[in-house]
Amino acid sequence: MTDSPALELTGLVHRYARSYVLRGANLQLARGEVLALYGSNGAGKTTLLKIMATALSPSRGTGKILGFPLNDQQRIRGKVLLVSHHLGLYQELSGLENLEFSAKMSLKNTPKASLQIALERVGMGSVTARVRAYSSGMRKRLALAKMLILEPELVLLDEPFAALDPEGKNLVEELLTLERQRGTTLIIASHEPERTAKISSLETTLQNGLLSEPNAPRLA
Amino acid sequence: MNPWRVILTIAAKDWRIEGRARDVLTATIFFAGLVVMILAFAFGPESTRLRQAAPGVLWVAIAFASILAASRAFASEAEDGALEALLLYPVPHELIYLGKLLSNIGLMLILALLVVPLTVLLYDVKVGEKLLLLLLTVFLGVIGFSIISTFQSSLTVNLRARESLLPVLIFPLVVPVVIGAVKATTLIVTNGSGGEIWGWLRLLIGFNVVYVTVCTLIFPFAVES
Repeated sequence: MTDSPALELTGLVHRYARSYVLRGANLQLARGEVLALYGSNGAGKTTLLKIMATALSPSRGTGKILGFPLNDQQRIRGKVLLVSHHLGLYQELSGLENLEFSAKMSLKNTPKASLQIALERVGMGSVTARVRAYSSGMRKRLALAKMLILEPELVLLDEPFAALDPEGKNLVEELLTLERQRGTTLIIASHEPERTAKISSLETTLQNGLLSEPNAPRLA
Repeated sequence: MNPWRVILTIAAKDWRIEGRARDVLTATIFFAGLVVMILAFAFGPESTRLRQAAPGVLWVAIAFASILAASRAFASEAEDGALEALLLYPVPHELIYLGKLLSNIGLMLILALLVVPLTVLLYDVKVGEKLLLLLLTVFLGVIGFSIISTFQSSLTVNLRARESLLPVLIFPLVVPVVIGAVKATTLIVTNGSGGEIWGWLRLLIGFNVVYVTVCTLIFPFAVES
């Protein structure tokens, strides 16, 4: 499976009620690539990422994620991490407890010391408060700490730079660059091409439900 | 993968959240206690009358409290997209249902441990050597309510009218639990025969086995998009 492409999507169609969001999107991506996904609001970027993460099933079309067919959800879920707008954090748990829960549910025996190191890597090593008290930037950092402990093969990021101060944006850029160097395949849906282009190796645009042919980033 | 580890991880997470927020226990204990006390005043001081009413009052309190608990069972998952994240972990969804069920049963048993002594005290109930049978009845009844309420709560978690829909969805399905639990408790309180009591307890056991199997198998289809 490791020599198979990271993504092979063919003719993906998705609709909500009568409204078509994807109209036959195709995409092939090799492992280790970093794809910047652009498109206007409502273009279907989040829907596409959710289909890749198996959070949504496409209305039509076929595909493979890391060599596994889209309907082999459990295997895909063990290797893919989706960091979406809704970060999936428990408000009454601390950052460390949220990470511990994620590690256990991902069937990893991660020692607490490693979880603490991951928190320190995202600049939250000394924060012991519950997530309810976090700012949106701190929540995003915590969600990215999941990436460090779960070590997924494919990371899908929906607006990773949104709601972050310049320091936070630099940190995300640094973390994603390290992930790229580690060989992780990244797909970054973003409205900030100037930042995303620094990390990405390819870019594509989702427009009218179709994806453009991936090209080298123009702003790099 | 150790399925028990997954189930316990989910339940422990819920109990930890409840230990801090106390959303479920505060509301249900207050509500159930109020029901038991108001009805005790309504039935008056006559012991025989109170004893006859006790089984019904106990199960009215537990049944309505379980609806309240159900509406909160998936509430922590509804915040910030936690349910979507939970469903994206590489574990069978059946285990997620069983984890949520275990957490709900734990909370309802804490409630029952407070409501049963309060009912026994206020309604002058004499259970004597049948105390263990009463506890077993409450245990089986609470499990029955939790099986259905946890499942229905997962179906309605994203609906705006969740709290008004839940009773409509839950009560028709828990009729056998209500009948079995009230009948068994009445026989225990009125010193009925052990054979008759066990007949109703067998109904509760059968219901729980059938419904936990059905709900566990259906849950993945119910929550998948």
